Amino acid sequence: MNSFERVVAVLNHELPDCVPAGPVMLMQGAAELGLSLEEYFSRGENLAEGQLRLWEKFGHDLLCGFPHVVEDITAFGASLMYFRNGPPSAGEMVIRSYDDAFNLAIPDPASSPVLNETLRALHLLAGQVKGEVPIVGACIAPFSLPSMLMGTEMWMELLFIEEPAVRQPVLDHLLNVTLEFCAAWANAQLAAGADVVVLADGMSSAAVLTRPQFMDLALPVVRAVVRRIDGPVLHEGVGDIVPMVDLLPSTGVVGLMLTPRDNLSATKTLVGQQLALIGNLNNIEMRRWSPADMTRTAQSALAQAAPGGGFILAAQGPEVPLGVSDDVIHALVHAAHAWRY
Amino acid sequence: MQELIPFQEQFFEALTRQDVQGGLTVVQAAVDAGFPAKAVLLHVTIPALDRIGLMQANNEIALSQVFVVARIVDMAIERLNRLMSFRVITTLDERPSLGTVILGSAPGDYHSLGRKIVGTFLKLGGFKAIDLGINVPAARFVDTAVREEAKVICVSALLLHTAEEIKEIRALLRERSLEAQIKLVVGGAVFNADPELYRAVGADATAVNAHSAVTVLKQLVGGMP
Repeated sequence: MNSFERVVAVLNHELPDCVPAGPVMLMQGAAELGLSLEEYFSRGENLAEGQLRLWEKFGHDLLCGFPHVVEDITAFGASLMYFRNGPPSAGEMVIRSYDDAFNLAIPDPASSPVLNETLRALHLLAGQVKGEVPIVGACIAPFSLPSMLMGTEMWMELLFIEEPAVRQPVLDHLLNVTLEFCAAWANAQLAAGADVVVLADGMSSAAVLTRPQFMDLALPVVRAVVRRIDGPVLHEGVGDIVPMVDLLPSTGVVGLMLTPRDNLSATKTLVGQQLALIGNLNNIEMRRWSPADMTRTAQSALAQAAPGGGFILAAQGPEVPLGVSDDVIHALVHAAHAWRY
Repeated sequence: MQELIPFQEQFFEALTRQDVQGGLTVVQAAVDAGFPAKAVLLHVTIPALDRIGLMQANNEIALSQVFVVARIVDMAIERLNRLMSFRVITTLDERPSLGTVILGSAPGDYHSLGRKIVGTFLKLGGFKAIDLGINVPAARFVDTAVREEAKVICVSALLLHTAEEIKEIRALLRERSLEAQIKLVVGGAVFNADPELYRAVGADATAVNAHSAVTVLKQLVGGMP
């Protein structure tokens, strides 16, 4: 099996030849090309070339055709602030008042030069490796995007403090905008060459929401947007998702990206036959691991989630940080591929 | 103040229901019943927030709930402050202030939610908390701490690369020979992901949540546990 066939088997709940390895490496390509992160992130050619060089180096099973999900806010007119050693942040909040939120229009993803570079990267990757290795796209999920446009505090204020008469019209409009944008952006990435799209939904884990809040606020949005996306979707909750994980198969997503806070065995028991699991190695601790540490930790994760298939060994989202040694990443890939079915 | 226990129970219940108006109504009812605002603060709001803090420490409560609780408590404090014509909550406290704490988000970090919640808990925990906001340069942390005679600098960081900027604050404290009198405490999601990270950025301690922040700071400044 090649990487593409291996991952497709996992997503289809068939047994692959071995466990696919999916270390999400969004920044490492810059070093491969000798570029700053800003230079690297700013051109689709760089992103594609960086991913191909990383694939050649590590032999993993997923390539990322996007630089980072923060870029989604550029479609709404926001700028990005770049850092020397990490992903960019929002330069400013697009929404500063409920009036701003109520007047927010649905942007065309193609209106953003930044997003066009991502589409270019996906197109270039598809031209080189389509069918050999899966190409991953990503979007900020509609329920979480408002926190990037107005700040988490204002978003929570609207959701949980504001009077219903004020909240509901703003909420309805805002979620309609983010849902329409997210669906269009995901579909644009699929059309450009992505094989699967990750919905980064940082506001939708048990760390942030109670189960009733999740059911009331976030779940219907996930369900609605997945229905509108013309390809397979992975959900990344960026936090403990186990308390609501049984609800996710009904959304139509095909897999879950898990964090170290998510118990792999418990999650496997709850949804293992319905959803692929991806994760859940601790990407922050990984910086101080030796290859032996990685092997030991990876084998523990594999023992919990690999039996029966349906598992991709990966770091937790959003990415493997800079500072993780090549030897440690090689150890991750080797541990996954050594698990044979 | 046994007479205030029913109000404390009602306030706690309002907090657990996320009932903003209900919580404020209880505080007002206690004041209307003739209890001094200072007593309401000490025997209604602080114990109720302590109980919520314990729930957070036991992972029994989500961030959204802690956010609403902190907002209700902030509103209650504001109302009690108005009644007493004081601006700084720690001056209302019968207990001696545990000291001044400088609070802010790390250089390059624009996240504020967790830091604000910690500020509320620290104020009701007996500290004078001065919040410098987001993206605070290292020198501003240290300069403010010196000027305000603060015992602790608390830095919040959500991301790994902004956490690493905290090393600059440690370097400044060392350069100015302030390490003995000013402690450096850090918190935020990235520190919870790796319990050893706080040492790598040069901090004296870390706190996993707002409730823990109060405990950690009390231990650091030699107050009660």
